[in-house]
Amino acid sequence: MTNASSTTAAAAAAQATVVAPLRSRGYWATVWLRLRRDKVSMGCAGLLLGLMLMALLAPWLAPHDPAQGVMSQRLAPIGTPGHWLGTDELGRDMLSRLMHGGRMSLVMGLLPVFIAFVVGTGLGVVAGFFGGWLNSVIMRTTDVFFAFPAVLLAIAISGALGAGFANAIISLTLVFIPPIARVAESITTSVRNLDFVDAARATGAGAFTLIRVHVLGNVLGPVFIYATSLVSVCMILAAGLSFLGLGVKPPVPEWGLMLNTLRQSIYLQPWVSVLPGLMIFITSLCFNLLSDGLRSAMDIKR
Amino acid sequence: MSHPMVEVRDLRVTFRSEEGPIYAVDGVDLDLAPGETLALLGESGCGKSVTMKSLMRLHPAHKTRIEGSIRIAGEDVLAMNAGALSRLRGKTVAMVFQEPMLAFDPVFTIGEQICEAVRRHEGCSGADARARALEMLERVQIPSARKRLDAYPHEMSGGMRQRAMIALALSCQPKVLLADEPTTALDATVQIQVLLLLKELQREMGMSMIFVTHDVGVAIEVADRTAVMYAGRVIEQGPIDSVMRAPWHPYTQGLLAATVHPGMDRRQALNAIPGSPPQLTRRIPECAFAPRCTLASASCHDPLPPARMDGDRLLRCIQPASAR
Amino acid sequence: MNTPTPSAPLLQVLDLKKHFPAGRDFFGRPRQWVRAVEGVSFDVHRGRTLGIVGESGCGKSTTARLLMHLIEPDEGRIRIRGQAFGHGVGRHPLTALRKHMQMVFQDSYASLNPRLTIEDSIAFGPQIHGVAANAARALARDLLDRVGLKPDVFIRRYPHELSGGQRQRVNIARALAIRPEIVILDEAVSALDKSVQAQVLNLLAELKREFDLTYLFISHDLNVVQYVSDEVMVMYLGQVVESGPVAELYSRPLHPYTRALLESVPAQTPGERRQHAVLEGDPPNPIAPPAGCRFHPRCPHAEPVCAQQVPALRRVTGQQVAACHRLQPDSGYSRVITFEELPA
Repeated sequence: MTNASSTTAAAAAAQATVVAPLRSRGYWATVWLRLRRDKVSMGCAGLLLGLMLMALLAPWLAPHDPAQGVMSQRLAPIGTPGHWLGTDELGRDMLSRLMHGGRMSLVMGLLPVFIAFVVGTGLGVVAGFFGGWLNSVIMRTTDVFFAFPAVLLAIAISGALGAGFANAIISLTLVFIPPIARVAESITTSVRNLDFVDAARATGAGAFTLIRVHVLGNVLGPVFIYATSLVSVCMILAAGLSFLGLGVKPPVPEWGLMLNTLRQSIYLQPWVSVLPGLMIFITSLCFNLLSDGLRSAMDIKR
Repeated sequence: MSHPMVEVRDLRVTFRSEEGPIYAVDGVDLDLAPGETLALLGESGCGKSVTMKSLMRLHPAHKTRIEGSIRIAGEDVLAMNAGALSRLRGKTVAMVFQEPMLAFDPVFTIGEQICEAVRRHEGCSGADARARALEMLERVQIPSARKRLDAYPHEMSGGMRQRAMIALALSCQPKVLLADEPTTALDATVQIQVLLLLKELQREMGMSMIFVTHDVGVAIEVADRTAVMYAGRVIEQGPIDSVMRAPWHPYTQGLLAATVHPGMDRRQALNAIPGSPPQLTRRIPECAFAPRCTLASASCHDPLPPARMDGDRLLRCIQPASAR
Repeated sequence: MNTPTPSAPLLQVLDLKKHFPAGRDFFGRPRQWVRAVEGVSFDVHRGRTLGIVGESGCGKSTTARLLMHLIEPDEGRIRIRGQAFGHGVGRHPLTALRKHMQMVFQDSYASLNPRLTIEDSIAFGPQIHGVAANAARALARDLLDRVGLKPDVFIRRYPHELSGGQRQRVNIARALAIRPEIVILDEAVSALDKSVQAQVLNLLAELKREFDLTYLFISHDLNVVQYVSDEVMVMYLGQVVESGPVAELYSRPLHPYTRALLESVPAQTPGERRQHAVLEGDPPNPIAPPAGCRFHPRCPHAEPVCAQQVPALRRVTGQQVAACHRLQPDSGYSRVITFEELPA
């Protein structure tokens, strides 16, 4: 056994043994790799991508004008030549309407959640990081919103603001800020108590730097997952608002609204009537499954 | 008495994980005589706790492959069905964990949990079980035991909880006690109390005990024999006194030299073992310590032959013991 | 390296105090207080290592965090080279304090941001103190090399890809990156395996020489504290019960608690097995600690006076100080003994 002088040699050997196994990858690269192995998530992601492309390119892809109906061809069944998915109660082509309707529905599902994600995370991180009275003010305010069921809240706000696309977006955003802020706050509180935040504070870093470098990076991921799981809820709520006449106005195609207007025809053409509902169902399911996949992909152990 | 209480032969435990198999235990042989205490000594990740849990088959079955043979009190543990296994656990073999807070159910009192164990294994009446629980708490020297019977786990201090855990483990008079670092989380002045208590109870009740620890001092305090583990294998085994006085395996030597002893000269650097233990994501047929070993020769990278007995000691190293 | 103690201490801590609220009533007022640190004072001279030992709840880690002002002390003064920092001195000197003093934590994983590369973690501190990003990164490479990790291999890695020993080396590099004079090592090697612990202890000794550092070494491991320290301070329930030069304190402990602590360390050779435990029971809860000497309920020598009066920390012999009535002639203790009468 040698001693004293061998410490540096020991350190050198320390590296030599452990270097090989894994090539260093960033956190997100690892998440992506894991997500790619998850067939369900990738399927959902593919489907959602397809739906978005379809919605985006609707003006060029759609075979007919979604607003132009032919009265003589009202409520044509699925499989009618020229109208492969049938027509609605005003004789408008269902396929074209579903493609165009996706634009509104997806925007109304994603935009409120995105705005709420930004605002809610901001509020939650500030409340969680600074604590004290600031936390009390922010969190107690969000608690007030929590007292009402989401659907009721959305309807109430929309009702107060009046119908219309912009107001629907506002009301849905307001509905989703409190839950996101709540989640962001609780994650921030736990991250803030970890030693690495203390270590960074011990170097003399200010609050803003601490949040930017050390807190946000560890909070955004989990909150993002939570937000993706809200997209489906938001889509359904948006559809609900339109269904009640509080969202977009006819004749603009939107899945929720289409579901409403086709409701009367359910006994005449049941299969055509459920199509918008099916689209809502598939899209929200995909968002949910993708969110679950993302959650397990991001759950990387030590 | 000629039969060992615990007999482990060529135990291999492989875990399935997302990143592929982990060869946690790779060919462990152990014998434990009735009334004997064996210290399973090693650093984190060496497989000592995995070996212990295998004795009670506590690993999740769908993720674990256990090969080899485990016999406890003459019975084949690996061949047991669920019923036999639950009779084995608690009645024949009991376990004490590092963190008693996790081992107790927080919604029941200490007394209720001990009674439940006694009634399940011995089928006695509630009153008898309670009497036994009280007797056990007194035996583990918990002050005002009658009052503690109705205490919840969180109402006790760390040391008292560990004593209660020991009372629970011993309540059905097991033949073998498995202790997995039971004193590691305790303060120094409490640790020595619990160590001495365990030793005393083990003698009184005539149990065999396997004591998993990373702390050489703790092993010396409790054990008759020791088995030193490294990277899933037992690399040296023997009476604790002789192993500690004259370790044979280069790893044991290194471990003892690296441990800070009282009265060491501060101007002298410590004899650290270079490097760190290997990852067990591949099966290592050769000596796993060779890359860190100062005595390693070319033949150390050939497949490792089985252990050699030399008197009452056992060594898993191709370098002859006489050369040390 | 054992130069005679220079006159002015590098770090002076005076009467540090911290009570935490425990449980709050309906109006948010604390029901009880945890007296975590109760009037702790000590000096550390440049280039020395002060070991702080004690059991859980004795306040040693809280003391560390109070020194760094990660927790705001209720009372107390901290002076570095005679200059006062922190409490009551305004906001600005805190940054200056943190330039003088850095800390390494016990949990090597929790003390590194999992989303940052090793390089970013080490370079963070210097950038806070105004070093340009490129220079900070160069410094990180340098330090990584200095703590025994090859920069080319490790610089872009993430904490979860490193072993515990490697992570603790990174934490040490991170602490050194802003060139502190004092490094607080809060159980910094306690979670490491013995063979790795020895590597890190050797590294700490080398770095101390090279960077001319002063250590505050906090640990529950008495053997390690003896090996690394010049002076040792023993804490019990938030108070200092004894302190003194390491050799004296270990060979002839003054306070009954120090003695009990030393006699509770498991034997390192088979011939020294413990026959009985010196102390019974657990350390009491720091909420509502015992009156008088906090150790008296567990003390084998306790007398009525110990339950009534708080013993002051007084010099007993040489540089050894202790807070024990038994060693203080005017304390009212009936069987006062002198230092010479204490068993070795």
